[in-house]
Amino acid sequence: MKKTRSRNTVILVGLIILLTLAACNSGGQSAPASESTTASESTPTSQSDQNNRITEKTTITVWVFGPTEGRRAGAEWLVENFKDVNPNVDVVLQYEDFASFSTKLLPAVAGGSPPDVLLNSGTNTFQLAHYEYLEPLDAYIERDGYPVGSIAESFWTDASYYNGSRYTLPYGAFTYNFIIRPETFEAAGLSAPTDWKDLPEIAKQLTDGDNSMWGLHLTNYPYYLYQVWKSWDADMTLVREENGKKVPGFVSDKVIEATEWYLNLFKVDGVSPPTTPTDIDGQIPAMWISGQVAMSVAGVPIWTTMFDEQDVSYEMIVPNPLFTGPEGMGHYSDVQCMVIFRDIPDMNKEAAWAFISWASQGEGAYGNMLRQGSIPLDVEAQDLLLSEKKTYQYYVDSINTATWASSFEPGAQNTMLNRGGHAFQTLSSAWRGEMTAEEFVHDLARVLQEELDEFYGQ
Amino acid sequence: MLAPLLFVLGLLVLAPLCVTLIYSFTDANLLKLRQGFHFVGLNNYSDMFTNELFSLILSNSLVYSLVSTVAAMLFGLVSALCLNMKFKGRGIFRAILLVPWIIPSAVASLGFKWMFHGIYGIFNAILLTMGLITEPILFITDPNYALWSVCLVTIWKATPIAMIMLMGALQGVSIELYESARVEGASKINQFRYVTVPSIKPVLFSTTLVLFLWILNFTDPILIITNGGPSNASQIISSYAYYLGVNNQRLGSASAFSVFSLLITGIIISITTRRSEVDV
Repeated sequence: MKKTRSRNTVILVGLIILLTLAACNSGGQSAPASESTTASESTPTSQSDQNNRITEKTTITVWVFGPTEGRRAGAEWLVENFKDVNPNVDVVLQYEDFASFSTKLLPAVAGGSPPDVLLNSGTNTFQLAHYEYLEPLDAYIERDGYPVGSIAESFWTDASYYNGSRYTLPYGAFTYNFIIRPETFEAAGLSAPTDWKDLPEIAKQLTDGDNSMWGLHLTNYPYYLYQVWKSWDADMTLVREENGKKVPGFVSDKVIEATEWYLNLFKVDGVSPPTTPTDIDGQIPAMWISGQVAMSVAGVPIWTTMFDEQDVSYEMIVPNPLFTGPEGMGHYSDVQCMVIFRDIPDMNKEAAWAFISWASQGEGAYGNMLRQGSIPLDVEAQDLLLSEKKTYQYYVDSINTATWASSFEPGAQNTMLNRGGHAFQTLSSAWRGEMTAEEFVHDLARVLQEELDEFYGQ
Repeated sequence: MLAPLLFVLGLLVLAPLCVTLIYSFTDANLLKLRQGFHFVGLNNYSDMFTNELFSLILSNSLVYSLVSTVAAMLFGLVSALCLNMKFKGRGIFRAILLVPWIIPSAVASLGFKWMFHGIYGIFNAILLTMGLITEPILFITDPNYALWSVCLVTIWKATPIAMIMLMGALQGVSIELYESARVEGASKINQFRYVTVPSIKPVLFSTTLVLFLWILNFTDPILIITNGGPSNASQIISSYAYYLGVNNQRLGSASAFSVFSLLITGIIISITTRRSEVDV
């Protein structure tokens, strides 16, 4: 009896191992999505009106990341109005917080059940495009056209191209703004700073004695440091060759100097501790840097400054010399994009394309933003934005590896997002510990190099 | 007759275990699964042992588990001893002491995260008001304090478990033994030392072991409060495996860490089981 039981157990375990190995046997045996169609297969031979183009009843699922109140309102506006022009398409919205990108979206993608459309930061696009989960949009754009104006082209490009194909359509963008409270400057008899190095002294002078107002608020988002690096008097080389390998090249004396300055900034009287914007509620600073202004969907401001509800007048200065890098221009960051997933069984790609192309242009978000100038900036900035003469450098927020990684191959920057960004944010939290600026910069370079080696399989 | 049970057990326990074991010898990546993965031998394990964070993560894991277990057992024992006495309102106190166990660990961790806040946290407010500190302590953003902060949360969470287990054991101790000890002139401390402890020793031992192994893999406070930071100061094996597997989609590397954690668990169980057999 005992021997039989042991034998049964062994047989059972063996069966499980065999089944597991069979199930895990990868890639080549996964069923091809024979039902899915590529853009070229579905391309009609003639131009078609984007409205009412879907003749069969269909449903598409759209995941929206970052479910702020404004973003929800914007997304719902899009869905309601899209229904008017394409009544056969039902759009099902699903809201997810940003943390769910790794925990829900990627497993869904890997498991073959992603949404049809994803509304997300452009920073995440390339990881998905690299592993061939996204539908290239070139054929659709060629067939139906897309108003690729100078504005769209310039700060959409980096968020869109990967390996020579376009994968996204934009529906909004953030821009960094340097914001001041004019009355505090007038009362102090000061002018707005025009150089990073003026900030500490001006912050001190602006702070009143009882600390009810910070002279300067900076959040703990690491991309502000990157702005300092870029616009510091530094000849920062992002990538250099070493023994035939590309390595981070920004470990320079100037970068260390800039990092030390930034690190010490938080010790200056009048500068708030590095916190998230919501932590500063109730203490309205005289100056602050926000990367979360000037974004709207369909004319609905979906992320305005944190002090909109306060009885405070403020002035946004974009671009500000503080943020002019070597290119001499203001910087946009984090184009919000829409992508279509591919190889989903029974997916109606035409319906998905109809939704994102409508949402991106025409009466949708992006076109609305451009046409109506819904970005709440001063006139000078609006002229700058709408100008066709300037080129904007696109930077990805929250991560400094973007532009660095793009030096390795075009459009590759965002593949490093999760790893590099995590490394940077983890390291930046150590500032208040025993880590010196030099250690920070060297550690960052080392971690980024490891991530790069891992990604490129070196 | 046992076959259905073994089948279910196999599916729920052995299958994930086998998958993890297999992945630990491959370069499996969540996003690259459709392109396949390859056998890489012991590369993931050698990368793990040569990872410059490995010694830090291992020591963090041991410190986190040992400190939390010992403290939870101590507080649990004290609570159990108190609740073993008859006094008015004992039921209410018992219910209150069970609250940490009832509150979901994610909810509790979020609450503690705010309480630990460097500027607006209640802990700093109390310490500053009492004059014990002159500037706020950065409980979760200072590498020197982060691990101890999550230990505190885990101790708070684990104490009721220890309390309940030890209460049951204490109630099983014969009253005659205490009476005999009193008659012999034993003090309270000696009664505790020579009657209580030997009587509850098996439960004490098994509870400590279970608690230790549970805490070794209890990552909720770490993932929610510090996310293993700052600078991996509060990273333990399980949370690092999560970081590798979920944030970086590196299933092979994550599996290697998970298997290593399993081996540690197995060794501890094996040693302690053998010792308890020897004692018997």
